[in-house]
Amino acid sequence: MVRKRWPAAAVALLVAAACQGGTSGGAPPVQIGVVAPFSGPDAQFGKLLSAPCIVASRLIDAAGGIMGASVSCLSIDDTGDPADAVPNVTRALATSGNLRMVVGLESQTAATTIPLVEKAKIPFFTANGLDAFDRTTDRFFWRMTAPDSANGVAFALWASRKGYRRPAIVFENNIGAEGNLPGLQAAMPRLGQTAVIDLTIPGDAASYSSVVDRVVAARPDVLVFSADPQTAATFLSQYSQLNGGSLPPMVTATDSLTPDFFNAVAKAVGVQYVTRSIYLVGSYFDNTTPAFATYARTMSSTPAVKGIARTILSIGPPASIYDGINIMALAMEMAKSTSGPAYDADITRVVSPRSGAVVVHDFAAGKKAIESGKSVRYVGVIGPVTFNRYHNFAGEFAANMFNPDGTSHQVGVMSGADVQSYLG
Amino acid sequence: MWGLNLQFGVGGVANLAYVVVVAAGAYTYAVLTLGPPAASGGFQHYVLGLRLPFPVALASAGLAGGVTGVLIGVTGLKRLRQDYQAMVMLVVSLMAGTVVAADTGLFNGNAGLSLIPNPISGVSGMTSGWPYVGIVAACCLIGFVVLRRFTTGPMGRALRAVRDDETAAAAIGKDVVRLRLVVQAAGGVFAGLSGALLVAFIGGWSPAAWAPVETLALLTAVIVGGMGSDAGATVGTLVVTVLLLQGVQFLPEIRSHPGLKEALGWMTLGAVTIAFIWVRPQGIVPERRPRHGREAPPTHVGRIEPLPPPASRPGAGGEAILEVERLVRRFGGVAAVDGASFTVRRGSITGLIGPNGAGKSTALSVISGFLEPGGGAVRFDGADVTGRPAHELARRGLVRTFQLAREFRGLTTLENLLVAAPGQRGEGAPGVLAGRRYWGGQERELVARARGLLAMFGMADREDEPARNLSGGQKRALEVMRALMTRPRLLLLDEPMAGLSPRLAERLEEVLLQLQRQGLSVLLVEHELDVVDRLCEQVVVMAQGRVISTGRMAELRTRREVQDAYVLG
Amino acid sequence: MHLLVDAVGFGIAAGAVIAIGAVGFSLQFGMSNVLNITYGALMTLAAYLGLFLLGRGLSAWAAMPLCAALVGLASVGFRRLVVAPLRRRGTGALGMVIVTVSAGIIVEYAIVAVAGTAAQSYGRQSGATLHLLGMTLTAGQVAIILIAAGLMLGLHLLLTRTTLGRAMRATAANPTLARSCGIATERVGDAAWLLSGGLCGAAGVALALTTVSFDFTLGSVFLIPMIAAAVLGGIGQPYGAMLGALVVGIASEVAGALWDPAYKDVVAFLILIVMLLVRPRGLFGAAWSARRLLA
Repeated sequence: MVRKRWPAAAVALLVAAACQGGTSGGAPPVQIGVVAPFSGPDAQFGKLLSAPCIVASRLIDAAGGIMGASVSCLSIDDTGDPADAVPNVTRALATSGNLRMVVGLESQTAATTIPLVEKAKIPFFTANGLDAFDRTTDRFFWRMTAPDSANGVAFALWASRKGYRRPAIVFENNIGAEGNLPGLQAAMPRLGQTAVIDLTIPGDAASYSSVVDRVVAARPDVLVFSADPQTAATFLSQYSQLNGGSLPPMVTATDSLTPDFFNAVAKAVGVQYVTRSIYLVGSYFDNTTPAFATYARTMSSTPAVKGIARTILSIGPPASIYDGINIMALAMEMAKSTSGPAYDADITRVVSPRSGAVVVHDFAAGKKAIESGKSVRYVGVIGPVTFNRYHNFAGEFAANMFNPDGTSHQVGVMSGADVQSYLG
Repeated sequence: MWGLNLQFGVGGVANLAYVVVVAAGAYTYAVLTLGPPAASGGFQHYVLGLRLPFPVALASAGLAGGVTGVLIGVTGLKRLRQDYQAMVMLVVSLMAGTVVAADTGLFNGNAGLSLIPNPISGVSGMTSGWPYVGIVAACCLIGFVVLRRFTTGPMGRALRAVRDDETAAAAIGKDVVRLRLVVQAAGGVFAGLSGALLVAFIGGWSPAAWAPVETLALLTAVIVGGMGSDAGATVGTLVVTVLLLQGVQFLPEIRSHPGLKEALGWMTLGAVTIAFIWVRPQGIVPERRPRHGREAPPTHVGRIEPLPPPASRPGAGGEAILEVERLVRRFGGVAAVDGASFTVRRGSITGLIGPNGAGKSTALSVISGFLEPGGGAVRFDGADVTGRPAHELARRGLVRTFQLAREFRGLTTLENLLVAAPGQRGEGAPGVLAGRRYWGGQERELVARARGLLAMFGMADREDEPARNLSGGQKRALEVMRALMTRPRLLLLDEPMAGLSPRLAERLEEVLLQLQRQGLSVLLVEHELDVVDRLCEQVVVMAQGRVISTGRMAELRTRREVQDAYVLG
Repeated sequence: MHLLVDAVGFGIAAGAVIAIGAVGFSLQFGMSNVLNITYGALMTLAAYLGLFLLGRGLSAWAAMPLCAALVGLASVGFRRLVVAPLRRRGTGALGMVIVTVSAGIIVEYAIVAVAGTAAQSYGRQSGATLHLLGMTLTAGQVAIILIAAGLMLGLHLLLTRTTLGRAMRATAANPTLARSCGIATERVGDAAWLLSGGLCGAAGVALALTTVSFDFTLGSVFLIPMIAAAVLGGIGQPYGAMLGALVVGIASEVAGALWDPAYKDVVAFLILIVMLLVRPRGLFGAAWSARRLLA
């Protein structure tokens, strides 16, 4: 790599420079950029993040588009590797003249891609939880995904609610997992828990026997765990073998709510453990609201995403992307412009409670209300939203469990305020 | 890219750890330009954080790359086989990756560093990418010019010689260790700079960005383009990145197999690499060797130029230029040389004969510094040189040839001779930096001298031929000529007549006698006893590692122990 | 103390798998003088072949010899179609490494093209554990240790008691001399690649059984400890490789138990680098191998 990307990077830069200012107004289709890994080891994550865009754009088009312009999703492959992500995003920003909003921007590449989008003055909703953006002053930055540290607190809080006092912390040394550690470690003493062991393990090793032996010897009552599917499967299988066939329950992140994780772990230690003893903790939303009904119905009837609909419907990041697209689209309607600097300020107004505002749950209703001169308040899948001064909003947290067919259901909710109080 | 070509193609050091060097440059740049960890949000942990300006950080990154290159180079210097070296490099890069990823305090572990300042982002009003493209282009241009100087001059020639045959390079007085470290350092500086420029552009750097598998793409680029050719490196990069890595992006997505496209890309990359090694190992743009113009006609045709003045210590060592005392060399339990003692008189041609396995070649290797002696002493020109390295001995004037010709395959016949000349101005740092102006004059003299030698052996018409294309006899002759180019005072010849055409052999005999008259001393290992008879006043006979007899050939033929040795041996 | 004893036990179990692979690798390298990186990918291939056979109703233990045979044939095919012709064309040692790395990548991504990147598994392992000499081992680990021991014994008998074995040892020690003694070195070479490919296949299935969950990088990740074991024992020295495998296995597991598990793999890396730099002929290497390894 590295030097090989020079030509690509240089070409992207040249094109970027050449195309600057080459864009103009009009009503051609509005493009929504989805920055996510579409190739490489995390390609599945890309599908989870692009599905809500497909659903939202379908609904927006059905409602007559944004100011008459139809909407399309543009996949921008960040490959999970910053060195590839930067040229790819730069190229997309430069060559797609109608890129008007961006979503995705996951944690592995966010730190390098977000400055690019910000500089291009395109508003974006990010699905990453990096603590780096808790107090960002970026004008076009918007986030409705909880920071990783808050996620870590939620792990501890859920374990505590279930009555576990002696957790073992076992995290794979990868970027996603490590972000949760500070919050987790801060919250445990406040919740009266003692981590009996705290280990970082390498991914995809042939054997974890000696590590497992240490964890077994510490006699934890719960595993607070995070690892890729293969590592998790190997670790758990060896745990079960060395612990007389039994395994303590596990609290892990909703990142693991994937078919890959379910299949790998179920094959290694059996479906029963996976469905009965694994809690997947992450951002919460209520699945009985009208907004969710629209979201779920469209998701299940869209051919391209039907197959993974049930997984997507149970986790937070896609829902926040769906809401984010609707919010930006309504802000465009409100500002009567698709230009970033023009509609960015309206994003707060679309969601904030104001007297006389009509509460709407989807784009179609919102558009109608705006067209008839009313002000609106969008309450979407993840519920009512209020952004703080850093354009961040952290909602509530939920624990999910797998169903025997690999889908999942919610088993409990933790309020955002609760989680914040243990963060210190 | 050029950095790797310099190391891999020219230097022959399979630096699979190349990415580590790039990474070192990138990390150095990152931690130097970033502010203190706490000031930048406290979410990433790393050392330093000095907020240095761009040029300083860039230079430091180059320096860090150079140092890392040398460090890695030192581990590769044990004279291991190339494939073992490659493995060491691979493991070094894996280990560096693991350690950096696991140690969160150093460079923020697996999460990597982000928000690394871009040199132009702070400058107001510069929103387009042009200025950065300009900076990169300028760096590339400077880099290319320096690289050209490095690879095209005498320095590059010496490096290529080391790549083609380390042993033979040592035999003509090249300090192989020093040359290799120079390559590593120079390649490292390039790699470090490229790492810094890259990281400044992408703004982030994490272990995922420098997986060793990426090096394969780089290696493929070098192999496809042509090893040791600057233009080839550029062509290779274009082919590999544009056609293979980016090309597969345009294939239609097959929904049932999401990873298929990428898999096909990698498979193609592998197949292309194998195909090139199989069909066209020299690459698309093969390494081209320079032709020398007619500006320097051969001097002294048919005559050997005078030898350098005799030793600075007049009279030192007296009669004998070489004294070998009770020399021992064992392989396992077998003593190949078992206490041999003999001398070579100044200005004489001394023969060394004996049956197969008598230890003649081994003795030659120990004397010339290619094998460590197991005991005994070697004095050259009065100084004790026991166990000194080969290149040092060669510089003192003790030069050997090999039983099997060891030409520098990739160099032309003429270059094979030029590279052997001692004290070349173009081989030092000033020569590389100042370019042809600095060494051009000396080069012309050397070309003239080399052409004189070629003319003498009737090989003037082959001077631009790559040495690998010469006939066996011509290679042997080249070997002797190359040794003569070093201006030796004592020449150790290991069966120089074997494989020579009668005409060349006759010519060689004449040359040797002529040189002897000018003061050259020769130790000649030879099977053709008639040749020995004609050339040597004194002959040493070895058998089973010992000297069994010494004298004139005519006397020796009559001695019982000599006859026995040949019959029994 | 208890953890240490257990770690030694796990080390022996890990060492058993490494041993099967490392002995084959060492044998092949010693015979052909080719640093064959494709070996790792062929292990992965064996694991996936095993998966396919499991899907056809075979048990993993029954699939192992079949996979071994198939990978053995693949290994001979690779020698005949790629390695030998290139050797005749004069490709150098380094060129050969690049070729085998490339071939390994082709095999790996061919597996991806067919089976995808998702983690695979042979299924649940029995939960039974055995206590031996204070060590805790699972039934599967014990079975693999026994299989490894059996294979090593078989190999020992083959090398010492049969004409083929003696011909192999002779060829490894000095190919030129062996040829002039009338040994058909080409055929012996094929036999060695068949044998080492078979061991590679067995190791692949054994590895898939130990890790329980695996993907297409299975073998290449495992290649370093295996090469470390082979080099530690001395290339071309099957018995050295067995001992080397135990050392590498135990050292890694003990490091994982007593030190930071994140650095577990580093142990094998360190052993390999130190051995290559300090004593490339291995702990038990004979003089001949030293001469062949030095440039």
